[in-house]
Amino acid sequence: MTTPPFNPQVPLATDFIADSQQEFLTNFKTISTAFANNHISLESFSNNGNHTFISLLEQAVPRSTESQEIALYTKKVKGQTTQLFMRYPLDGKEFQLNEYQLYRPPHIGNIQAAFFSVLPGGIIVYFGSIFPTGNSFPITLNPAICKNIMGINLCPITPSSSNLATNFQSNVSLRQKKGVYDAVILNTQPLGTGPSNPPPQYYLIFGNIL
Amino acid sequence: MSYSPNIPNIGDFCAISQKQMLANFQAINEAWLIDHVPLTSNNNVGRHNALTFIYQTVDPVPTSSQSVLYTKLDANLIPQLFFMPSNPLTPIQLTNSNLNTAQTGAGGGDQVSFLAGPFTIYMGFVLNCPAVKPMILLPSTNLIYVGLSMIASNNNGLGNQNSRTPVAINILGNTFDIVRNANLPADTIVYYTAIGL
Repeated sequence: MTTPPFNPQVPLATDFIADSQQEFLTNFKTISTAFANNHISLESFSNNGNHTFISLLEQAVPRSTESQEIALYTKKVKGQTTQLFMRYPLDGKEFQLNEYQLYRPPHIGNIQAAFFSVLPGGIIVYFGSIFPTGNSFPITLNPAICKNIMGINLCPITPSSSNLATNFQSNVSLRQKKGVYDAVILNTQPLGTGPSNPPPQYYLIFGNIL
Repeated sequence: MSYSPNIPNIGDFCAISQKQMLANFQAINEAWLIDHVPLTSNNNVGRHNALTFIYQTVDPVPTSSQSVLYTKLDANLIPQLFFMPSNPLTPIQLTNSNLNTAQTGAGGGDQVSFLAGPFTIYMGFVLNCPAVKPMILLPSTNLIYVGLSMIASNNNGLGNQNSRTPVAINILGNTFDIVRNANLPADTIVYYTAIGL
């Protein structure tokens, strides 16, 4: 809907009411229409002034902040879409609060239940469960947008009667393609009292996004 | 520029009301410029460019159909983002200042981010981890979880080493010790994940 632009310079001292009536009408209508975006409407009988939700127009540069202020805004991120940013007072540290849109990539049959999420600052967290059918078995990292892996945690899934939990020995290597990691490989269990093949296990993997 | 919400009065002359109404329209226009697309714009009028929060000294109390996003000083007197649901009326701190995701060193270990709560989450690795490796995680918090895993360097598996997953001992404040089997190769990498509060 097109709303006439607001005119902050009315009425003039020499205006008659009849001259200014249309300008008043336009201004009041513009204020009402503008306020209806993201807010309970001015014409409502309750909750006037409250926000219903927040639409943020994409910003080209970081927002400036004063000493007692925090700013929330959106900016376009290369390789992604518009994302939410926050900045601390006095033009302090700016960081990206969210990263990506898909948090549950397709599972791989009954072999891998895969999920991912993100932490502020550009960290991707892959997690889920894997049920290897042999040695050198990949935990697929999807989406493959991780350029650095700095955390891997594995926990065996085992019946309580099994001795697997106490003898579990993690033995992994990393697979990299075109500069990004696309898998963590579960290798043969080291010799000893542990099982020789990689057992079913939960995984939690941290990496830096491209 | 001040705003007069109660003008014009019924007996006012137009000459008086003109100044008051002009001042009001200008005040509205000026206030709206903060965080919003200008009222004088032809597009997107009413939408926000950004949200700037002045920190609150007390938690707001929303009604049953409302929730509130606001900022408040944390224990270090730095404003942080909070969310207050209507039920329960317990504020949730969404951010903290413990954020460092710049890659350091050759591999890019030792990074810090946060989880709502507010929790600080540390992740990183130790190259060529010795049999006992004292760890100090910064910024300092009280660790409530530490998890370790290991691989060999050069993307090679540990092979047939009679290994054990390393363990964390002496967890105290922001410190702990990594202990691993001394028979492992010297180039063993230990990954750590820790959560502090």
